[in-house]
Amino acid sequence: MVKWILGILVLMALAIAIAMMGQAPEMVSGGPHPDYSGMSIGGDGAARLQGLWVEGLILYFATFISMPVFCVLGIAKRNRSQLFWTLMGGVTALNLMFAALLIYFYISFLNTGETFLLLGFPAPTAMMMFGCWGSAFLFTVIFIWKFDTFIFTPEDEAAVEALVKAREQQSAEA
Amino acid sequence: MEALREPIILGCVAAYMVICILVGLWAMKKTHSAADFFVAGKGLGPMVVGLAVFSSTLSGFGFVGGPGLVYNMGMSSVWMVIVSTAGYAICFFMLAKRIRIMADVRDTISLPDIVASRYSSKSAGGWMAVVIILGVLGYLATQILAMSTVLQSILGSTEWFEGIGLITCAVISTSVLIFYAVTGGIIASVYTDLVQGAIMMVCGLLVVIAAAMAVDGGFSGASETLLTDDAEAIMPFGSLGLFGSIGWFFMFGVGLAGQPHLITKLMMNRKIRDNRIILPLSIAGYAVAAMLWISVGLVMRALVIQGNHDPLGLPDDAAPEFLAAYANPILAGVVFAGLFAAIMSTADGFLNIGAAAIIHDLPKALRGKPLKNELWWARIATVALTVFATVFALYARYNSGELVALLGAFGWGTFAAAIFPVVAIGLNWQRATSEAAIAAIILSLVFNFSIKLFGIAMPFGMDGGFISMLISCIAFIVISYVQKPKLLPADIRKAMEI
Repeated sequence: MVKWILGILVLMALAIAIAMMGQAPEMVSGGPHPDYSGMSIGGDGAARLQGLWVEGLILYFATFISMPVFCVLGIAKRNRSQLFWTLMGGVTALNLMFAALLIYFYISFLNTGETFLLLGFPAPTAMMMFGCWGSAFLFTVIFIWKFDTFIFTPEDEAAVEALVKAREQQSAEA
Repeated sequence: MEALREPIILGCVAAYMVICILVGLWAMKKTHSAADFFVAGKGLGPMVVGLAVFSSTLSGFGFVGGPGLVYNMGMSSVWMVIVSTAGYAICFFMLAKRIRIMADVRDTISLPDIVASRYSSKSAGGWMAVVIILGVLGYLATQILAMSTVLQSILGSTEWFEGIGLITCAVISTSVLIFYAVTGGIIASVYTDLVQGAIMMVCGLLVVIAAAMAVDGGFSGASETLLTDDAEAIMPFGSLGLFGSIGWFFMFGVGLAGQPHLITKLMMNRKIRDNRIILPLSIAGYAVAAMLWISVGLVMRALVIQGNHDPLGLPDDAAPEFLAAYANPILAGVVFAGLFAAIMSTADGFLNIGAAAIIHDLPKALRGKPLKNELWWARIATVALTVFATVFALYARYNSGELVALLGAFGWGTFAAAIFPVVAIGLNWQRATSEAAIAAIILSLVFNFSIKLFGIAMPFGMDGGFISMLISCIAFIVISYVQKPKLLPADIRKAMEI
């Protein structure tokens, strides 16, 4: 699993390094608002990502994928059953679907200048606020629901008790 | 009631400060040892730990700096919030069980203790203590700056204290903080976290309603205003853009498992099974309270653009000005008191781990044994840290106009880059070596502090902490792979296999 993590991190670093090789578009990280000193603006969204889409999207999706991979590292190898992979894979796929919808609606807006409001926010922002935020909560549902199966089994509990007992015995003897 | 707005707000804040002093005195009676002072004797229930975990994540940074960032750059900083569901999951999957087992197996009371045990290296533990002290200074300064800003906003709006300075407010608020932290230690912190968490969950919802009512057309109206003014601000990546926003997404999500004030709390619960309750409680509390971060910032930006509110002097004024102008006086008073609770309990948490690093972990790393009478020294270190962080906070504000959230992001990034690989990956990967841990810590510190001290701008608006985190994680894994695997002590190996 650590090799996968290393691969993802290197991919992210490479995406940034390659993006840095070219000329940074104007306003890539915003600029001051012309009327209000405490605010910044983004300006033309399409222009400021010109030539950076591939690197930006690699960084974006690699970040989303890294999160469940880190979660998996915390689970003992023997507890990573088929059910575990199915559940984690399913939630990851759902999370990635919302991440992809966010990009789809954002690009549509940049191309047409039009969007629709969903629950008070423009469509791409609503995907971020409700889709990406909400769907990742399912990782927590797995944690609660399958705690005894994946996270901390009765055998694990017995092993911890044995370790603590051994330590206490050692301290008493010392 | 509107005529009594100022006395009501002032009364709520004054009442809260008195409560702090009383909680400090009560907690002092329960604090008999260094273990009580630092980890509450590892005997807290899941409700207390759950609310303490979320409260310590959402502090002055979240309640003052967060709305300020949304006012300043639109949706960019919201990535710090929406990553919370994945971030808490990563933290609990990777550490909730592991860190508690380590603490039980080696009877440890601090994070550097755990690092020293895991890597069988006093140097690694010592370096972890150094990281904690340096990061605590940045983060503690954020809390003190936030507390002083809010107090100045409250007092300055009354006739009696008109024109009161930030330094005077810093002195008042840190005096209460010192009393509360020195007397009560972590017990005072977690019990006010409990009260604060409950207040913020209820008030967070009420503030969202007040925010929706403050602007014509509610959140849809605010979105339309922002779309017309600068569409990018209300688009998902805000004015900072894709790279900067995703950098924060990674740093605040994955880096959550590298925040010592949070992961230390995972050592304080009674049973490992309690984590089933602690995790959802933390996320639910965070989600509700984080609404305040998003809604207040957006609505204040929309109100100013619509010409319905004067432009803010500083983005950090967004939350205090919103509460003072648009919230019901009682709600504003309670939220202001809750804000103080949030800031003060987080500051106390930082003081706690900082004091532990100074008087427990560094002496162990340098002399091989802790100091005598640790509890007394912990209280002295607490006072010294507070005074030093206050000076640092005021220096940062007056010399570089540093915003609360950006100072907080620096503290967060410092911790995330140095602690995540060493603790979160290291406790789950037997091949990790002490040399890799020390190298990752030093690399992250040098990188983070060089960026800050020399004012180096990162490409595409990305946070230095994010780049630093990528570098330290890659270095940690590569160095561990290059070295020969080391044999771990039997108890550590067994603990890591569970």
